[in-house]
Amino acid sequence: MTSLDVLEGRLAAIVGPISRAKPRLDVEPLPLAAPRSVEETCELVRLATTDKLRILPVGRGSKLAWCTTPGHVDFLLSTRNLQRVVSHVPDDGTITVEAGLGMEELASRCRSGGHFLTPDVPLPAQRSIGGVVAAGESGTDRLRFGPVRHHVLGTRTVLANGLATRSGGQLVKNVTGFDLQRLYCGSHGTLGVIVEVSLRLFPEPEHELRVTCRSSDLADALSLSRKALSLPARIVSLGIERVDGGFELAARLFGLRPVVEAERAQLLATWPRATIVEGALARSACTAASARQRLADSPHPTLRIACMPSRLEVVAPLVQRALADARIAGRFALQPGIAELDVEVASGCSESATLATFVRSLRATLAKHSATVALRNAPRTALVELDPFGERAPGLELMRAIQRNLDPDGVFATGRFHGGL
Amino acid sequence: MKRELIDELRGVLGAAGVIHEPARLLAYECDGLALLRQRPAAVILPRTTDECARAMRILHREKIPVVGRGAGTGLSGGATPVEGGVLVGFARMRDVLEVNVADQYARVQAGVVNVDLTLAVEKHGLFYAPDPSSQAACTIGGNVGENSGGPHCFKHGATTRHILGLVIVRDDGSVLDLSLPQADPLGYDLVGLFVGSEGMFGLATEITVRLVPTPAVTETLLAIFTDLDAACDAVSDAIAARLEPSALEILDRLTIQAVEASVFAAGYPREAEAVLLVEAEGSEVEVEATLAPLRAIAQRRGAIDIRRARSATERKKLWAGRKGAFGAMGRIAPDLYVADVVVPRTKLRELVAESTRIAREKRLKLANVFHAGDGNLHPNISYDRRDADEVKRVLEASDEIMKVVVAAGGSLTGEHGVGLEKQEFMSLVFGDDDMRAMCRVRNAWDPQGRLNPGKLIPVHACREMRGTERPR
Repeated sequence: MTSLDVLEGRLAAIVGPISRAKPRLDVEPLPLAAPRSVEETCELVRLATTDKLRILPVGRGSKLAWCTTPGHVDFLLSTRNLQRVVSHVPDDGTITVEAGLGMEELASRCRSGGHFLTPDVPLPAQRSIGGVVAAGESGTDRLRFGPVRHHVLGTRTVLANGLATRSGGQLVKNVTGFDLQRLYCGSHGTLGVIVEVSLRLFPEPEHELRVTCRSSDLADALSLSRKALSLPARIVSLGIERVDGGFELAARLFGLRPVVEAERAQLLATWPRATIVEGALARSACTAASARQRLADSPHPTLRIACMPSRLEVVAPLVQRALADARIAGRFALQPGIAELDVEVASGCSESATLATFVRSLRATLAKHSATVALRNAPRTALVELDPFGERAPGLELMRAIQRNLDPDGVFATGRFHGGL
Repeated sequence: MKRELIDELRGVLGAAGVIHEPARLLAYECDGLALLRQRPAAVILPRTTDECARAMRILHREKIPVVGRGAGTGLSGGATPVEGGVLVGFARMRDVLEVNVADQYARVQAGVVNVDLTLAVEKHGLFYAPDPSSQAACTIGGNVGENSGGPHCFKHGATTRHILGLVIVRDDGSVLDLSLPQADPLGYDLVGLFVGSEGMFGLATEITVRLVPTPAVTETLLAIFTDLDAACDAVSDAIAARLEPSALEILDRLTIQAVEASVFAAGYPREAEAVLLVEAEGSEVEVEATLAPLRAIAQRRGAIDIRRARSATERKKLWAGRKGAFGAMGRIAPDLYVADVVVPRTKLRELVAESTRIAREKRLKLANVFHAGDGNLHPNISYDRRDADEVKRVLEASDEIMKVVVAAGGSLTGEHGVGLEKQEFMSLVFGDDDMRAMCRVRNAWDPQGRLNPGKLIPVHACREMRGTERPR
């Protein structure tokens, strides 16, 4: 019996059958334990702490490749069996669910109560709410609703000592205690395992539209997007995608019917020759576009470039030029309202070293414009000397101190997040 | 405080930047929670981040506890000094450092008064959304410390949603510059974590805030009720109908009478048992689409009249009454205890009634004025602090209100913070393990526990806090 067999036996004694899974395509499979309750989660973490094992917490695994591959992991702890709706009070506009609940199921549950779930993330069937919160993944609807961290009212998180701890609550307004949920949101599971999330919900729209128009070049597309953003309309999302021979702009409008109709008229006056789809068609088109625009379906390395909105018209052409100079081909999408660009590195950077060099060079170029460049889905060899999240953040030492205080032994496979956190 | 230390601090801050004379220190003995008082050893008033950092290095060397203070309008004792400690005031840091119209943000010093920020940016068609009732006095730095709210946070969210960056002076006088606004934090969200930390993580000296475009249309309605329960039910119905006005505020009869007898008189009908102040903003179509169903709900719940502000002046007057309500209550008794709890919005009527019952049983005068849309109640108890028995009953009533609220799924505070006032009640909401996690995070920011010691977390809850060094 190997030591791996022994470990799997001990994990199985807590959570039942153990499978094996790869945290990334380019690493060996590891034991995967999927606790069925918060108590089992605590027990697994206590086992790891006592035996000096290292855990990699995972939701549905869709964003593990945003991080560096951890040096050593003993087992994966998946929240996929934690799917309970703990509390749903539609008339209060709040919901509390276990972390493993899929985004698609969660959105459907919210809709049944007359609410819209933000973030409206791409490929919701492949994401759990715990994973979305742990990665701080916002949707294209961020333009209207803001980032996901603004809507997490509270969390229950299992820390390295094996205890499930609460922060925040289930109320739309609450300042009791330190907001540790803000710390856990976007920490990629390096501080603990999020097992429960409380969210603020928004009204399900009465009416929904998707308005698209074509543009011949990027400058023209950016100009049209600027005009749309200067309207009083509260646009939900606004994207620009490169399509054959030009660019397509797409705006999502939703809300009360008369408001949406008024916004439609404003937008049509701004975007000549626009086409419109409505209702359920609009929603499914937006869902499909969200996956494309966020490049969530890409098998290749991708870049997420973010800057201040006023710099976008400088940054976007610089990125375009850098890609052309490096002969990198792939999809290219912008979210002008939130000043984010997603770039796919489909070809032109097959060598890891070349990819790393390109990213470093792009970061240096864009730093002058206060833009950041994150690299996702990169092969591990490209990340030997490159931090996928960006250059050194201010406050990194303080972040390390927080991590040391919460997880002194590095139980949660530390070292895979920004700056080696 | 030792003379040499005063002189050393004066060397950094100038003569006007250090207050140590006992008579002048009287003004800093308490914040808005006047029940709790402690004279600080000294008050320092830096003018810049650099001055603040240099002074903090001296205080760190001397192991002196430090309490930050904005305008002292806080109502939970968050800025109550500690014995032997130094109070850091931001009254001389009142500059708006940058207004970026294109990217809709401003960078300000911590002592900028909330309303002054909006006045500084309104010519650009922008405003700063969080609007505590004390906005004419409270500071942005204080708002960051407490994660302050206000009536319009119903739509726009509390302070935390509006803070893009911070410059923080740490316990040891080092400066942490997190001021570059970014869509998402790189690494852990230190800015989000810091907001609402009640001065226990560091001193925010410069703040980058998000600005919001001024809406094309703003409409204000006043719905008049002969029954407080009905007004509460109207709000619960509006939430259940998924309506999104920008503010939903309730004032009860005693509050109305106090306001109408004061300089804040807004034209609220004195005979009403409650008024519901509603505001909607956006395009003309959006405002009408929001207010029409709200009017119907109010009527269905028995509103006897619904008035619409016909001009900006009338609208301002209605709001001046709401925001001046706490001040107006000075007419009822010399002192006011402003409670601050949050309840699920489905239970507004029930918990407002419970608060009223508790006050009645304690023979206290209770007036309700609250952010109904957020479920954030302010049961305000008028009292005379010279009457020891009445003070005792006020505290007992406050304790009982907090207990019934928490038992009903509510929380201790929606915008005023825990401070000293609610510290011992934290265990109603959080377990020891939850609070130990908070202490560990606090310990990373301030290992010696010198920043605003003895606040928020009950001392028995965690070893990290007990390890705090005593002041000299």
